[in-house]
Amino acid sequence: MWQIICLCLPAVTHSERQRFFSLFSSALQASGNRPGEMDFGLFFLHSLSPEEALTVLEERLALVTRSQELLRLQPEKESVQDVLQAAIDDHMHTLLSAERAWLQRTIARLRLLSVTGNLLLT
Amino acid sequence: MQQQKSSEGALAVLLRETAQAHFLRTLAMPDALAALRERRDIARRLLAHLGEEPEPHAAVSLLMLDHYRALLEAELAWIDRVVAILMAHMSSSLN
Repeated sequence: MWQIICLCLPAVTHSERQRFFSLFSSALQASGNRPGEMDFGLFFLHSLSPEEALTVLEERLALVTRSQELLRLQPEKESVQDVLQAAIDDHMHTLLSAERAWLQRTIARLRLLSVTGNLLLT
Repeated sequence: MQQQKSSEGALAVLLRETAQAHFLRTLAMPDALAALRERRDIARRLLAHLGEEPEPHAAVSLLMLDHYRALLEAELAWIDRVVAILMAHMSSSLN
């Protein structure tokens, strides 16, 4: 999530953007993976067994849930001058919610895998 | 207990610093609107590209693809909301 919030692609030059994606593609190809199918934030999953991945993702879900609780504790902005702050808050809430939803369904799939040997991906 | 409080404090600091580092803080409102529109174009192209790529065979790759798609869709929904809000705000400021 952090790289999506902080990495402002429109704010970097075209050559910097090209350089970034070139390095990213090289790193993926060196590991035997094709660019375009990867989320580099989860790249480590390739190195883990399903059981290990389940443990890591459950910890991640606990972290995301706690982050959402902490954000909810922050006082709401009332001033109309805080339009951008409200947009920033909305961004964090949105990405955390999306992350939580993905974690919950992925954890469910990995648990099914450990029981049945079948990863339900439909 | 002490360690838990310490990690909670660290998480709160991380969340605060993430909000402080947000790219919208560096931009005036008209520039924020332009940046969001460009970001929306990039996200749409990335999503379209994901749709064109053949699905990987490895289960882990499928999970990661699902993650990437979920975050991009959430990002697009947020951008659409914020662009609408900023345009309404700028329009009301002019009246």
